Amino acid sequence: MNDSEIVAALRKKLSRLEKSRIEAEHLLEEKSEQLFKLNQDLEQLVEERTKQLAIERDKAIAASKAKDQFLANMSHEIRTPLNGIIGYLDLLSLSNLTESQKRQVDVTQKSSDLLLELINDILEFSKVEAGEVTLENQPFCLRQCIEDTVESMAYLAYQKNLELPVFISETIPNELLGDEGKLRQILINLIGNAIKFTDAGEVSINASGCWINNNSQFKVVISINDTGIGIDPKSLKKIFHPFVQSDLTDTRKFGGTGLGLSISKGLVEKMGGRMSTQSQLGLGSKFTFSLVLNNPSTKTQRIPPKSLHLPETTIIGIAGTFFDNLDHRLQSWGVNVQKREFTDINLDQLYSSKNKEVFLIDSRTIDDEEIKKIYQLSQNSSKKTVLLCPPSFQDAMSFNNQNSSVKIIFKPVRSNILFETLSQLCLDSTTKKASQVQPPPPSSHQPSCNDFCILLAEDHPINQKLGIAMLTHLGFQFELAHNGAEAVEMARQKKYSAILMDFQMPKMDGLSATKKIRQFDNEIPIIAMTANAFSDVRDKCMAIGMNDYITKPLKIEDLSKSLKKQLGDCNDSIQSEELRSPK
Amino acid sequence: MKGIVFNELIQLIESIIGEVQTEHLLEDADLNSGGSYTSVGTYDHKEALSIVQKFSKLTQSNTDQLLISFGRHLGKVFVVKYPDFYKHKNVFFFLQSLDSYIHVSVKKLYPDAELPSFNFEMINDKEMLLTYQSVRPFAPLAQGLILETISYFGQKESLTILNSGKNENGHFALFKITQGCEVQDE
Repeated sequence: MNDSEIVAALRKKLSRLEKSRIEAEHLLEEKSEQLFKLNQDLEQLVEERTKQLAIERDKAIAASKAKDQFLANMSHEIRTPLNGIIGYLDLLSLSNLTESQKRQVDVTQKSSDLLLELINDILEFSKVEAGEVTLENQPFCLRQCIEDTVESMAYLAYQKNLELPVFISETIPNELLGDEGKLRQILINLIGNAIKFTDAGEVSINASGCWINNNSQFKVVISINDTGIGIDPKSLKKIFHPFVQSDLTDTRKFGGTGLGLSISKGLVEKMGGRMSTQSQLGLGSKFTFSLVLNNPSTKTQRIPPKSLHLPETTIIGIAGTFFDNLDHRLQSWGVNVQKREFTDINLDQLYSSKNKEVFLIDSRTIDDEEIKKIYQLSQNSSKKTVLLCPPSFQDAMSFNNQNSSVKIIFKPVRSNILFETLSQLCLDSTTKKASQVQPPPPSSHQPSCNDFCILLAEDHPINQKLGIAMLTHLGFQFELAHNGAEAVEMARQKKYSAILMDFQMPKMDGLSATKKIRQFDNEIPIIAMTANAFSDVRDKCMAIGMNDYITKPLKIEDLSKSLKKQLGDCNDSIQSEELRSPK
Repeated sequence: MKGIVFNELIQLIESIIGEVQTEHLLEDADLNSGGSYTSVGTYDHKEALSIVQKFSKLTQSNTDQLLISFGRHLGKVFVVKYPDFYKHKNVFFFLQSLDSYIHVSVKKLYPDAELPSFNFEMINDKEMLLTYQSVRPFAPLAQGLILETISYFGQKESLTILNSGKNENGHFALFKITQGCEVQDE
């Protein structure tokens, strides 16, 4: 093959490759054009779909809002007639009924209370969801808030034979700024749930915390631990979702809307905290939440450590959190404690020695006979005894009066009561001062309720009738104003003993009417009646010069208490026992 | 048939007989395209057959054998150019994905591509039947591709042709791939 042949072949190759390059360029242009067109089509499609999606999304949001609003409105509307039902049932239960009628009224009352609770839950949830919750920043005692709340739920727990031990760390300061009402609401929900889902064992409450942000805030961590049915891991993930209970059968078995946890979590987060949960099916659950509360002062509040000087001290009870908490608390006060289970104790032997000793005995471990024996044995003994009893323990007062060497402390044990009782017990055994506050002797010159005339300002016919019926039942005289303007005029004309002022009224609402009345009368007690138990409403009442507030549905006991608080004790026509009796 | 196949075929021939001879061969083949191919273009498969036949005549070798060798060459090129298609655990998984994934992707990129179909059937854990079906007589090319793929996965599979020929749908070949034997070269 000669050179010219090679050159010719290579030229052919070159022209072949050139041709394919040109072809490739054409193809590229063609494809680019296609791609451009496709891209345009795609952009247009995306734009159309996005528009469509936005329309659908807006529709869904609007529908959801409308449903929320409907839920809130309906709840409010349902609450008004329900207030009438509950109020009248309250009155009906105080009238002369046969046993069978009493039972029927009782069931109706319980059902109405439950219905109201559900409706309140829905309303509260709507508020949390809509971000309409406003928080107070008022000084309050965290320790007392927790102890009061736990105490209010003790009846439920001890009714089921559950122990309700509380341990509040000594580091918790006396005064903090925050929303006590909301904290109480969260505690009631979590403790209530724990009691509801626990059949045996205990529900323990623990609170501790520390100063943060240069001592300007206090972070508190509260946990509620139960030995109840527990939650399986799958359900655990969704229990904070609204309307969800861990098991659908729970709704039938335990009742409830499934809103409580969502509301509580929402409130906790609003207060700068977090809520978490751990659980084991069949073993129990632990709900923990943190809150950030403000320091009312610029310095860290240091709690001086308490100390007690007691002779040899023995706790006698059943091993468990209650036992451990007591031991821990006493040790923190410098008391040298021994722990013993009641099963290894012989009462005669226990009280036989001459040396001074203090016994703290858990009443769960002993029966009535043994309690009597303790009283007898301690009468001429150097031993001091503190009996730790459930709130339903009945003979406490009489025992307390009989023997100053034996004191009763009701569970859940408050730290300060334990401290005071032990201090008193060991300081002076002859002091008759009991750990329980005795009511003052009734005065012989009490005015009668009939001496007082109450102005009832209320527009709703059902509530008017109910208010009148209750005031009549309590023995008060009354006059009726149908709106705020009428109430102002009547208060100007006549000196009433007190005014019961509805919040929402036509022509002039309760707040405006109160402002007007305060311009000419600063003395007259004005009590707000509101269906809205939220704290912002309460604040408004107090800020414009109202003296007290009661929430609807009106309960005769609340009305009586509030009027008594404003007017001083009077002999009303129903006995206090009757008022206190559980429904 | 896509231009990449023609370009790879010409490159392979060039590497064997040199550029000048190759140009003569292409001229002899009297191709409509004049032997100018761009890899993304589409061309008549008969041109590829003409080139192979001319090469077979020139080198006095068997056409099928040449197509098998070309298949192996093409296999090596595909591994480098399209590594994503080869992310499989073994050759069985790769072959199973031929129609369901690889050819679907090729069709997306080149909607005008006319691809052969590969149907597989597992006889048991270790044996697979693979049917090649195409309007074009390129079963030996497919055979070369499969052989190269087996080598790529480094496994000990053997490839047997159970049957091949023409049917109402064109050309077909039935391959059996068996695991557990040394890789056999044709």
